[in-house]
Order: sequence, then structure tokens, then C-alpha cells
Amino acid sequence: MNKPAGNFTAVPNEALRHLGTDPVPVAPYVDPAYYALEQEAIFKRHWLHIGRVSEVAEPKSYIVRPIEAANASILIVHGSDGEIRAFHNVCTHRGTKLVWDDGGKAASFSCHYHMWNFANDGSLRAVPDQDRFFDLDKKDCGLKRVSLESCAGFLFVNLDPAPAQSLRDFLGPLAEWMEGLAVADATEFTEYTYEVDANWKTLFDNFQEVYHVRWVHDRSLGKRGTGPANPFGYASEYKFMGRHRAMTLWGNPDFQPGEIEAAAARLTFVGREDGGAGIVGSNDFTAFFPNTFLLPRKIGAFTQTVWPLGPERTRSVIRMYWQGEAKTAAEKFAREYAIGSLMDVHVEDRALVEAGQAGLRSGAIDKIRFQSQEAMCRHFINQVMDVVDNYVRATDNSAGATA
Amino acid sequence: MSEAVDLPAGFEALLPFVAHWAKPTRQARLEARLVSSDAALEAFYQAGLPLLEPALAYLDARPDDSDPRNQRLMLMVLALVQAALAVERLGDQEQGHQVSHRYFRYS
Repeated sequence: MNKPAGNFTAVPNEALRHLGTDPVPVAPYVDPAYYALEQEAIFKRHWLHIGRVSEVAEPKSYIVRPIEAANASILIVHGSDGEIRAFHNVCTHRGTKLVWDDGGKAASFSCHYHMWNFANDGSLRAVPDQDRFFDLDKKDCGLKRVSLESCAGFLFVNLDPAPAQSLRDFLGPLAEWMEGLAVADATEFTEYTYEVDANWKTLFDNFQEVYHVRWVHDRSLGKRGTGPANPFGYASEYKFMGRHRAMTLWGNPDFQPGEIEAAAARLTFVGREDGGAGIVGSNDFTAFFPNTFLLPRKIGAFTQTVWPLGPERTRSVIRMYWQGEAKTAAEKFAREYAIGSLMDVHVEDRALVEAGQAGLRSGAIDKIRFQSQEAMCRHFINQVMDVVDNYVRATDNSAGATA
Repeated sequence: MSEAVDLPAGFEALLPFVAHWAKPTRQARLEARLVSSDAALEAFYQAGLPLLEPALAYLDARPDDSDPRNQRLMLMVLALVQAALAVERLGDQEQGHQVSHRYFRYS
């Protein structure tokens, strides 16, 4: 039975006017000095999604993740005592990077330089030739802790020594929403990464609007998300939640996929979308401030985290989380299709994002003109500029107070 | 001596494609696509399309099978995804895609 294809009403301009209507400045997307402020104000002071509880499920298991924007390497380790902690991956002797691989299992970690040895709870266990040190108290020399909290199985770290908010307060209504999703129980994922010559916000913005989809993804998405009722594939709803935001993606009910795509779609949802009890997904494409997306569809919840590597270089980490291990050939095939088709879309975006950054870098334009359905981009830059302005004001005030 | 390239009975039509496509990792299956001409992708797609559902049914009737022929058939089913993405979705944009695809890597 065909569902009517005509059901779409765009969010009216007037409903989005409160975000502002003026063009926004280009400088935050290209200026190295602005990036330096973002490093301090955003990446060293906010909750950042860094991994998944299932990656450190077993006692002694650990992962190491770089956060270049904060000049940091983070060691997340499930201690033999059962507690999962995060530390700066830095030896407390002379600051050497402690763990050089990106994960595994260990009861303790030894620094490559002078062999200081740390237990997997972060405490300093052994110091070669300790008597040569002057009044060294090992209790004072444990690894430096980093705040770590989780929600729905997603791990977040905050490099602020005293975070202004708990993760839960920071997430607001999104915390409860995430906990109700199927992905909250997911332990399996597939990951791919790519790097791009673009500011992290230029890359992030690409995924915050669907205005480009009709042309850029003419083949990879085609008429899946556009149709006569909604020729640009605009979102059916926007939600603004503190510094976070979401749009409800629209799908064209009349789209006719190719035969293998149709088989993948059918197999994808057998026992899940149609028959699976309690499997909760959503079409709300959600952007967590500052740098993570979550689209929790039922076959696989998709996350993307963009990590600035410099003012105009960004790494993108994409994951699809699955409900349990793929036990059947059909499930393996359907998952292969889901992740492969997602990559095809991202492949198309990458060149456009670099072209966008190159133009901004040229100085040819000094303002970006967002239309109403680029509301997520506008809300995002509003948040970034607010956070940076607050940081600059607070820094100026404290500089004034100590002068 | 290398193992004979073989598939379960009924799937012989895929044999000419095994050497290129039966790769053990997702990254290697992607790379097999990225060096394929449109004609090669079309040929594999056309050979695989009628065998997809029979292959899935055959494999799902044999869980935990250690027979290398069956394992190879599973890899061919997974590789067929890459050919289908190229043929069903991208069409004459596939070759351009292949250039940009090289920046992407499965972990």
C-alpha cells in the first residue's frame, strides 16, 4: 500500500527568526587566533564524546584517544578494582607520553623513558632507583585524572579540572532520550575515519543542513529524502535544547530502491523495525555541543564526532552501533550495506567541504548567509560565539582582578 | 600450495569473481571496488543479483560453518554490497567517487 507522499510542511521562516537573520562572520571558520580561543573555551572545558563503555568492558582493558584540540592524549582504563577512570596519558616524572598503543589490556603501565610504573587505577607503583629522588612521595605522583562520565553507554570526558556542569546537566533532555534508545545497550560497532582540510565547524555544518542534498547526493541518496512534496528534503522539525540541537529527517515513502538495496532494507528490519519488541530508534538527527552527531536508527545508530587537528584540518570518526553480534548471513549483509551506503554519502561531502573551506580562506567573502532551513548551522555558530565570548570576558575579568 | 578456489554447488557463476572480491576485511572489499571499472562492477553485480537471496538462505542454514567454500561465499555476499552501491546508486558517477573514496578508511 502506498503511503501518501504529499505530507510535508516546512518549518516556517518566522518560527526560526529567533535564532537571528543577519549574515554571520567568516573569521571564526578560518582565523587561527579564533581557533586558539575555541581550544581553551570549548575543547578544554566541555564534555566531549570519546568512546563507548563497551570498549573498556573488561577489567584491565584500556583505550588511548588523542584530543589534539586540547593538546591531550587520554587514557581510559577499567581498573582491576572495577572502576573505569580517565587520565592524562602522561608520566608524572617528566611528562612523557605514557602509553603508545591505542588499546589493549594491562595490569599496569610503564613509561618508556625511565620505567616509572603505574597501576591501572592510576597510582604510581614503582620508581627505579627511587632513593636518588629528593623526598619523592609516590602518593603524590599518580596519573592526573580527567573527569569521565557516561550516558547510554557513551563515554564523555571533560578536561576542565572542575567541570562547570555534570554530564547529565550538560545533556539536559537528551540524557533521558538517549537512555531510552536501543543504542543504549549496543556493544558492537563498525568505524571508519577520514580527514579533511577544513575547519571543524565547516565540516560539522555540512551535516547540519539538507539544503545541499538534492545536488551533492543526487545518486547516493537520490530521492530517498526528497520528493515532490519536499523537493529539498528539508527537516520536518527542529529542536533547540540549550547548546544542543536536532532535526527530524524526512523520508520519501514513494522511493523505489534498487534490488539489492531493497533486499538489504528488508533484511535490515526483519525482526527489528517490524517485529522486534522494545527496539527504539528515532529520525532525530541530533547534534551534541560541541562536536558529535547521533542518528539512532534501528538497524544501527550512527555517530559522527569531528576532532579539530588545527584551524583548518579536521578528523571525522564515524561509527554505526549494532544491536548484538551479527549471527546470520542476512544480518552481516544488511550491516555491510548500511555502513557502506553511509560512507558513499560522506565521500560526496568531503570534496565539497574542502571546497567550501578553500573559498572561506581566500577572504573573498567575509560573511556567510544562512537561510532559514540552515537553522542548525546558525544555532551552532551562535553557541560557539557565545561560549568563546563568555570565556574571553571571564579571562579579561580575572586578568583585571589580578592586575 | 594455494587452496583451490571453490564455492558451494549452485554458486559457480560467482567463481570468475572470487579472486578479485573474496577479501577478508571490509577495507579490502572496498579497495576491490576502487580499482574496478564500471564494466567489471556491472558484471559482478549481474552475476550476484540472482544469487544473493539463495546465498543468504544457504549460509543461514549452516551457522558456524567452518567449510572454507561457505566462508568464501559469505565474503562474496559482503563484496556484492560494494558492487551494488556502485551500480544501483552511483552509476556513471562511480569512477569520480573512487578518487574521493581513497581518503576513507575502516578502522
